[in-house]
Amino acid sequence: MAVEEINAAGGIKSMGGAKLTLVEADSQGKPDVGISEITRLCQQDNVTAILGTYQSSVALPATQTAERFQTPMLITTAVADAITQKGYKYIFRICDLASWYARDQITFCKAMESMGGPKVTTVALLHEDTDFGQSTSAGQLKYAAEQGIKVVANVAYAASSADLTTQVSKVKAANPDVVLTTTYLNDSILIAQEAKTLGMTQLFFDAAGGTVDPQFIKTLGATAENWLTEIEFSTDSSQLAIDLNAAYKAKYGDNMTGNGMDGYQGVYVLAKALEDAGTTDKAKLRDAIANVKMVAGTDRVVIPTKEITFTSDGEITSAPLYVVQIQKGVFQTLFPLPAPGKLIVP
Amino acid sequence: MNFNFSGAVLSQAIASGIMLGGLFALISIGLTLIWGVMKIINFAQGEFLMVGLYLAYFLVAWGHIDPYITILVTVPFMFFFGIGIFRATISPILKDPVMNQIMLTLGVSLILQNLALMLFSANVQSVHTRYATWNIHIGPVVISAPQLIALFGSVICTLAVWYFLKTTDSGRAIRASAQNPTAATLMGIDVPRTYLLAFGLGSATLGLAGSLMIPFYYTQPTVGVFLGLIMFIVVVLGGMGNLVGCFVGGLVIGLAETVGAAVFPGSLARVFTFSIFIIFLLFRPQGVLSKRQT
Amino acid sequence: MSLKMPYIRILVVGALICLLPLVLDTFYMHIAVLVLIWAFLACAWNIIGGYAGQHSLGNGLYMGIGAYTVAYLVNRFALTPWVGLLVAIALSAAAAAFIGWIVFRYALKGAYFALVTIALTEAAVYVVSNIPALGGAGGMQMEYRGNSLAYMQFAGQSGYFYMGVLMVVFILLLTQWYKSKRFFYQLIAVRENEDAAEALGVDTVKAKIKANVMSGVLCAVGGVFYAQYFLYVGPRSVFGEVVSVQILIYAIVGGLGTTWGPVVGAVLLVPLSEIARGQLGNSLPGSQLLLSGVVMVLTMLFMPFGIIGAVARLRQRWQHRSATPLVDSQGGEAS
Repeated sequence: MAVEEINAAGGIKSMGGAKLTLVEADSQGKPDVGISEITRLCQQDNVTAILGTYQSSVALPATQTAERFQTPMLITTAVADAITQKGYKYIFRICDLASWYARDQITFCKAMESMGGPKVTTVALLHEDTDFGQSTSAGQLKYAAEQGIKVVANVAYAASSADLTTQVSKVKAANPDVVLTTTYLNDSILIAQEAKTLGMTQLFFDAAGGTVDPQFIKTLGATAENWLTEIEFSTDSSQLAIDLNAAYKAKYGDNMTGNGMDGYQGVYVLAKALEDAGTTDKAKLRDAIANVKMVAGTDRVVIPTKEITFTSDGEITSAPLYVVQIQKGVFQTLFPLPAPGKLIVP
Repeated sequence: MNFNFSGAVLSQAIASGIMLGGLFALISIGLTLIWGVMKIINFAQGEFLMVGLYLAYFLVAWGHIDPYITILVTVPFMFFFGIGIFRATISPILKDPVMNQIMLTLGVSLILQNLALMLFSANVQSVHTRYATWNIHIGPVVISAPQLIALFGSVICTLAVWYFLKTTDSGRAIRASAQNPTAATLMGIDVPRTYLLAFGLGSATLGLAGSLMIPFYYTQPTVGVFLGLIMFIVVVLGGMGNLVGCFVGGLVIGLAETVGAAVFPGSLARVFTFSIFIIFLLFRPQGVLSKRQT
Repeated sequence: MSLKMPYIRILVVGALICLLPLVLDTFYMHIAVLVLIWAFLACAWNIIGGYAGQHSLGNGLYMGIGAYTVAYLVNRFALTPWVGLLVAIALSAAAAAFIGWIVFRYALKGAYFALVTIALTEAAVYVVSNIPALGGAGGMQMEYRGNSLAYMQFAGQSGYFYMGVLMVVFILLLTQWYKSKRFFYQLIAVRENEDAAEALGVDTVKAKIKANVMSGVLCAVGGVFYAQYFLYVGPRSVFGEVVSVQILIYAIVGGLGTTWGPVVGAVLLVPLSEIARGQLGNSLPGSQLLLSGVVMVLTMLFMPFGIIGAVARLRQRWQHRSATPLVDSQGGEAS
């Protein structure tokens, strides 16, 4: 969508109105396939830059390949902290880090009391155990310790499990103030159903896992009510976000998600860098991305932040997260303050 | 790591394990039947279940039919689906080496899985029904009604298939073909036709499973990968072709999954399940209940 | 036909293949390296699966042991992969011997053997995912240290390519050499009729364990190469059922229990699936794996002895113009 918009608006002006072309590749979620596809993009299709990829396990080896081909790569959805800690020069990340989700969860837990919620002194962790759950729960442990919140249970499960009642009842037995989950969609549905079946009354707070999928609310109906989760994109952030969401919905039929937003923003960051560099030379483009500065208001910034710049590690300097609660079947923004929503405690 | 599981956790784990075990038994009946009768291991059985789940899903989500009424459609559909697959791919290789049969059914499973991916996308699909929140409290444990219904379905299905094999002419023909195809042929039994019937039946049970599971489960192109592996474990534990063994095997693995989850951290519980499987394969490859053959 | 002919054929083809880098660009070189990796692994599997007729669906276990050993030693102790290779060989040999000893002592055969091997390789996925020192579920990435033979790393693809060619030529020569040895005759006897082999005085359990060790060690070597090429190992990318099945697809499609079968299978199928993914991957997700499935089903239905078997049968029919059926796929080239 962003590519079409930029081309319709006259392409990259500093390069004589050059148009952007999108070449797609699919990693199938397999690291070796990811490497093959990066090789194909760099060597066969001679792309100028790469946007992607979904899973961290694919992104890690893929970034190494892109670095070796000295092709700038903008990471739009992979959250594992390690990706930008390798000292690579050609790798930039526009999305949030796994530890940021954990950090904001703990921050919110601390703030809950002031919002009319329970005083949170204990939490239980319930997470699937691929790298997503493993890295997020590591972050949750770290920030909980820093904030003096006690972790009373740390329960991991295989995402393919057919039943999670035992795991949920383990969490119930630990009786925490809040349950922090890291999930994919199918397991988040199982957990919500089983928590209700077991009569749990605590708030569940998911680290932007399965709960952000529209299917979560659709399948569970009332059972999904009061679940907390984190999202990267909210129409509460700006008029631009509202317009963008409307355009996206008109085109694809669904609300825009955080992943969609990061991909969309990535194209604009790239376009801006190309504009600054005035060339498709990969080394010059890399420098342009490293020094890019997009200011909300003048440039097209849809990430809810004032300006987009990258740290020397290639990390975006700021990309806040929204804490939302499912209320009457929609996400109600609660955080950061001031926010339109009010916390509901069951 | 935390090993402090209380009595409440353990009793809940046992209750859930029995429910899950009933489900595992239900999805494994078809495999044990097919394996027992024609000595073919159908590696695509998990994908047959995936087809059954998608069918039930579409009937409920788009057709707005009560999930338990969809049985009237899913069972016959899966019966003919199985027959179609058997005719096209399995029957020509019945006499080929085991490896070829394994490869062929693996190929069929890849085809079904990726066709589903193309047609329905990788998204997890599930339905919202009123049954999802019906619960039954027994002492300290809670059981969800759809799971209990699936357990009953499993018992009834096991009994029905057992009764069919024992008392009807077609059932006797199937058993005769399973024991000795040559002798069965000599006695005037149309062995290829009985195989076809057995395969169709084995596939139809997954239609039933699809309908009974959809109120509390989900579907996805890869849903059959893990459940297919479970089927193998259950069938080996029960002894191939042994219906009662299959039910017992289902319970054992259901309990292993949930009690294992109560005791072991994370997905290491899965290793526990596999260990039971390997130990059984080594020491009692004929199954829990059967006597050792000489 | 001279006795030396098959060896000469292997060496000549190997030498000709070495000219490929002159004409292929980087992306096709990448595919060529993939072909070599899978051809090598399929040849390794062929020893236990093809010659000994024991249908392992879990050789990913040994590939994973190789890949993880080298990745761990390189990352943790900064050892050169060449030392890692030796450790990987030792570990995989021990694992294959132990597993073979248990499994064959209890006389597990056919489908049961296949299922045990799946269970082992799947269990390995979950074990490795739960060991933080091995990177957990996220796997381990190895650092790129620049072009250096001491670190078994090369800047472009051609270094890996020549190494791959050497490995495949080596495994082909090894297989060909063993074919004239007592050991392989024993294996084939075990495959064709185990009781008869036993009656003839073959220690079938020992022969099968030996084949498992040989196959396992070579798969581990393939795993080391895989790890060095991708500089990444993950639980599901080197262990598990999916990888294990991929290893054997090429051998089965090419021709089970033949010297060249696994290579022919890999040469035809790897580029086909890479191209399918490149062309159709986005418009039709899953088309690559769908294609693999279709190839598997069609091969089993119409060429049960794989491409080599089918060619041998055609050739025989052409030579004799008679309807004598070919019983064994080895008929064409075993002598």
